Amino acid sequence: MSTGKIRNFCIIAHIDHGKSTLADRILEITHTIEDRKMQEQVLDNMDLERERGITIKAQAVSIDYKGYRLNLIDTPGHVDFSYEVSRSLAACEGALLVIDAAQGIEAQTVANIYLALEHDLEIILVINKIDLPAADIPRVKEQLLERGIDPDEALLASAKEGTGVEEVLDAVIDRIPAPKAQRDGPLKALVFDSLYNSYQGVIAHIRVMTGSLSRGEEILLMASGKKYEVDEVGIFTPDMQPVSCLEAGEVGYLMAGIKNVRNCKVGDTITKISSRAAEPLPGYQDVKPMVFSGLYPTDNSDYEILQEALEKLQLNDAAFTFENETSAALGFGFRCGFLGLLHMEIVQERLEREFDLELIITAPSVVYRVTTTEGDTREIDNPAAFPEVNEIETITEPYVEAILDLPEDYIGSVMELCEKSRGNFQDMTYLDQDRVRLKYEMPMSEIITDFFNQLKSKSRGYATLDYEPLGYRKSDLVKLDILVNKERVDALSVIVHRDRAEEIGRDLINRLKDIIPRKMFTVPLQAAIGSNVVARENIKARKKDVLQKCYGGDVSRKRKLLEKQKEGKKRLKQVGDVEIPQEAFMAVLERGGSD
Amino acid sequence: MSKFPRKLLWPCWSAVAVIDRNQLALYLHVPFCWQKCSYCDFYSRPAEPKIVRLYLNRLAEELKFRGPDWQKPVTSIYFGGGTPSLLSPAALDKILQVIRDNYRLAPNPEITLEVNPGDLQSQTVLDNWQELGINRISLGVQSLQQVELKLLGRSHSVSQARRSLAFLAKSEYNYNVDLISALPGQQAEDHLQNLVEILQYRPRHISCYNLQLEPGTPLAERMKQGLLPEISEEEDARGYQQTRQQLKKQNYQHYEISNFALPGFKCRHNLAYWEFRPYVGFGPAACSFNLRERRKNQASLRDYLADSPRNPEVPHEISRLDQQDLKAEYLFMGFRLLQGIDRRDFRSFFQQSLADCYSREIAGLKEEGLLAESGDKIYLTGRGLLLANHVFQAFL
Repeated sequence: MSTGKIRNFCIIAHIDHGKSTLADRILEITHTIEDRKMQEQVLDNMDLERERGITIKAQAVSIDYKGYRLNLIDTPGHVDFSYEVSRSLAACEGALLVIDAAQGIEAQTVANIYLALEHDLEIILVINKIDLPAADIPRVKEQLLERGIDPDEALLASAKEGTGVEEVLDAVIDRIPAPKAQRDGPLKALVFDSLYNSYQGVIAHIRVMTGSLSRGEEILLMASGKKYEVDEVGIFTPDMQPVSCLEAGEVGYLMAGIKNVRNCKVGDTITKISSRAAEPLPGYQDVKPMVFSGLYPTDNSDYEILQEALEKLQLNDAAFTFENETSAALGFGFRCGFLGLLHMEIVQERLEREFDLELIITAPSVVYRVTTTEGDTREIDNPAAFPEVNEIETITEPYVEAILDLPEDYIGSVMELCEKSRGNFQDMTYLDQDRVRLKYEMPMSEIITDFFNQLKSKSRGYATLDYEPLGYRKSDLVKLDILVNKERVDALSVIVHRDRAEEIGRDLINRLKDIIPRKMFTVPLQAAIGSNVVARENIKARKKDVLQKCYGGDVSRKRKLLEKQKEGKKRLKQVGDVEIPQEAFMAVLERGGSD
Repeated sequence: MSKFPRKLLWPCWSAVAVIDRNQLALYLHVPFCWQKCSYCDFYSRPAEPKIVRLYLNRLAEELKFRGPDWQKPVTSIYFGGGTPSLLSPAALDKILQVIRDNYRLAPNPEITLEVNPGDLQSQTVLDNWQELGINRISLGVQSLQQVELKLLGRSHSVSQARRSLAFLAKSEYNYNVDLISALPGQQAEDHLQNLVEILQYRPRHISCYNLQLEPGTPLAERMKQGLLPEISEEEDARGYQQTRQQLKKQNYQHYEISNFALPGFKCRHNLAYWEFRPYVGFGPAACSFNLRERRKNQASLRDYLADSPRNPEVPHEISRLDQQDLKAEYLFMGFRLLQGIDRRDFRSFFQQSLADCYSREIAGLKEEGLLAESGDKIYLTGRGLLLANHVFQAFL
């Protein structure tokens, strides 16, 4: 296909503004997918994605329409995956920016506009959901105008009902430039996604920038330095369809017997060994996990199964890391690294679902840098591994710039939340008449507690959060230990600011008291900094526990109830004489939750 | 049929090492209610006359059809529900007649009718039941405080409860009163107040059950949504201890975790469950136990009636218990009795000694102060009565 007939574009949108529905409708109208195969939201093909209504992995599909080849690249929609988004955008020349006609412009919409502009993309605005009774097109246009964007070119559509979708496709052809691609130079192909399955190995999603790539050729991945022979190249229709050659400007896939996504990471550049490109494409980053937590099997005998599961998962997720870890309280497990909280939840859910594992997952932690009195600096991603108080000279922790967009009515309560979360106010600007942007510098560790949930509840769901790393800053931090029945439970330790340690300790103990099941004996709970106990409570002993009446002699039902109660206890983690439920390990997240 | 038996009919079981299992307890489930109580997840339906008639015919068919399988002497008959007291005397008479015709009745069987206080508002009603041979009434009072009755969704009022109690007290009937404790927000004293008033009527038997929140019932849902105050384990335990003391002072024998009786008035029928004796149940959702298998009729009345009269067998499930389950059930039922279980009976039933099966568990529970031993008896201690589930679970 000649370059002039190719259009590469993506769809970007704030969550729930209808990105996936628009993609579905495009596939349907262009007969890319037969109606009977049409499954709602075809592009989000992981169960998890469909359930949560978000895209986790990028997907691509080639659409033939009016003699053109339209390559649609779907992008992830969460801050945890912003690097992946940037690589998907780098593979495109244009973007459909979807705006909900009823919701109007949201934080993510604006962020997306900037992101698209950064990548020099031609933006086609699509005001979607015009069928909704609450749709307010003039307001959306006004909002656009306020941001200096010409609203006249915006297209109106209802992806749900299919109206305006053809116009969107025509605009893709008319307004998005064809790729500027040299077909004869040395090969440079951008990896914008990399997936693994056990039958085919790694399937790299690529955009050929210059040159061409055929089956049988020998390639080099410039960042990983790995060399392979190409087994197959092809395009997504959306099923994988082999082609003889992918040329500059085209989007497709590559298989080359790659056994691990780590050797073919998102953002890497593929070139040929025979005629090597002088330099890779710009923008590659080695993505590092930001958040760490311990993963332990509830049943210790599942340790090996968990290890296998983590290995399998890692094959398909270059951003996820793990290594062995031992906890005095929880036994053998793994320290796992994630891009953010959503990434962590996704991994946990996949482990439980795909591998049928019961897990204890400890509260997430950032990576602290601790300089000891000896003068050496250590990176510590696990509160339990902190040195003794007297060995610590200084501690630094990662800071982020938090960008919060919210209706002005909630400024007061959101600012209060930010202050409480150790935020330093930087800036406040009005986005329009009633929406405000706040900027705070905050410790990353505060963001990964339940900051986001509290933000949502304090703003009735109207506030949005985005953040950018700012580097490390010195903080007066201490390790708060939790003792259950006088035993220190290392997996419950948490790093907090000294000024709030006592308050957090008291609050935590108070909640643990209700979470940890009562025993036949009184269980003391303590929060301590070093040997200094800052809070204590008792879990009262059970007073009465008797199953009653057996109606009409239904004894087996009674036995099942007793078995269920007994089984319930077994699913908890046994620490000494006390069973600790998963909730307890997450309780440290919900700081001062209910105030 | 005799009137209220004045003689002690019941042999004193505590003196008998091995329980006589050559007898049968017979249960009839009447699945109709005036209205559904907020805490009840047992099967029942509104009593439409036409459906009641179909049910009675079907019950007669079931009684006749299953008779040949159950030819041990029947020592107790129990009409439970639902609300059996909404059946007419004629209907009750018909059922009893079918039983007499198809089962071997022991001399002077205990015949109990569960009664909703609203159904016992005249002396005539009571006379009719007595006439039919019903010699024991179990009165579902539950509480004598209107707010509590309302919370429980009971169809009767406090004044109806008092009126029915007055008739029973005057009649010298052998009767039980059911009370429910540990209601949301209830203090031990609230429950005690109910108990003290009940004692003025001097029932022969008192059952004090703490409220069980069955998932899915309106009460459990309201609790889950946080619409009701919490049920305090402390208050429940305190109320239980005070109930025990109060009843002991009044000469009631505490013979089962939740049951108290004046001498000679233990519930013979319920003892069959606790003593692991055979019983047979008729009607939807009724359970039977022949010492090896448990049978449960399907709960739905529609299914129960479906094949009548073409197929005399009603839909049911049978589960054969393995030795492990059988032992667990034997123990957690047996331990409910304050006299506990008898090692000799266990051995004769299972052909294995208790020590061979559970010596470690029993030693552990004795250590925890939940079980005690005396001679061949092993029984729950005072603490064990409060934490019985912990004991029961050790044997699962």
